Amino acid sequence: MHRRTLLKRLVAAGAATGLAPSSRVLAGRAHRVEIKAFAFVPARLKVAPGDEITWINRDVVPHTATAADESWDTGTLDQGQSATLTVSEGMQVRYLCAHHPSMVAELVLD
Amino acid sequence: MTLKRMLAGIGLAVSLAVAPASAESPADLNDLEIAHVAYTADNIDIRYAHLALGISTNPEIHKFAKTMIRDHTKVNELALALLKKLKVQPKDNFLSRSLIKGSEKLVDEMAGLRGAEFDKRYAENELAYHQAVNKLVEDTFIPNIENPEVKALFEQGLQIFKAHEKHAEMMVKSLQ
Repeated sequence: MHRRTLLKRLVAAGAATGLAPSSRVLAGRAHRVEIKAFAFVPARLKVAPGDEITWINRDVVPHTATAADESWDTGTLDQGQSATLTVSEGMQVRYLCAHHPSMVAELVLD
Repeated sequence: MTLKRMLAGIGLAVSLAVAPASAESPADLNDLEIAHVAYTADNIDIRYAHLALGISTNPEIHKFAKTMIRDHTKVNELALALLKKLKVQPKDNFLSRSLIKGSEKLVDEMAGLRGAEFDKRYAENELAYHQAVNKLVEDTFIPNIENPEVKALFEQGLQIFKAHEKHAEMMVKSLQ
């Protein structure tokens, strides 16, 4: 199964995985990261477990948001497409675009 | 490094002499000729990428090559859509022909290589190619383009190709 499909299905179904807690006691905050001009904006994002991050691609070419150790991945996002991830304890905080690896960013876990 | 030396480095024998009136210079190209050069340059890089996918077994080379195909195809789609909207056709010119001639020699050379030797040559050429083309686009084409929509497309393209240049640089370093 493609990672992108897995990620989306898991987030949608609220299943217990290494990426999302099995029962969300408190609803976290929602964050947005825009992918534009070959950069993640913001490049550093303060988040806490239970928060949701939505990446949206504004560029004409496809991008991804992929953990540096490949432990999580939005999959390829075409222009206008988005993907959402739920933050978990201990998740990899450094990430990049798998297609354009000079594009890097990081999450700052509370 | 001057543009002339950069272009010579990627197999182009282009005269960039400015003084004689009969000399051909990239600075003298009009919008339709510039569009033709860009389309040609994109297709050349797509061709190199297909060669890399056929010959290399290095996963990083494959990732880079697939990005080249994906991105350059997208830029060409946008360029053709814009030209269709403007009801114009790109125009062939000396620089497009030089690019094609140079690329034929490189394809012949790279097709004879295998393994690490191929990977190194492909990566180094991608870096040199993107450096040369980006300099041409930034310093000569964009300042000279008259149509604002064509100019905007080239500015967008330059952003993409600068990311490719950085990626190529990382690839070259990883193969050293």
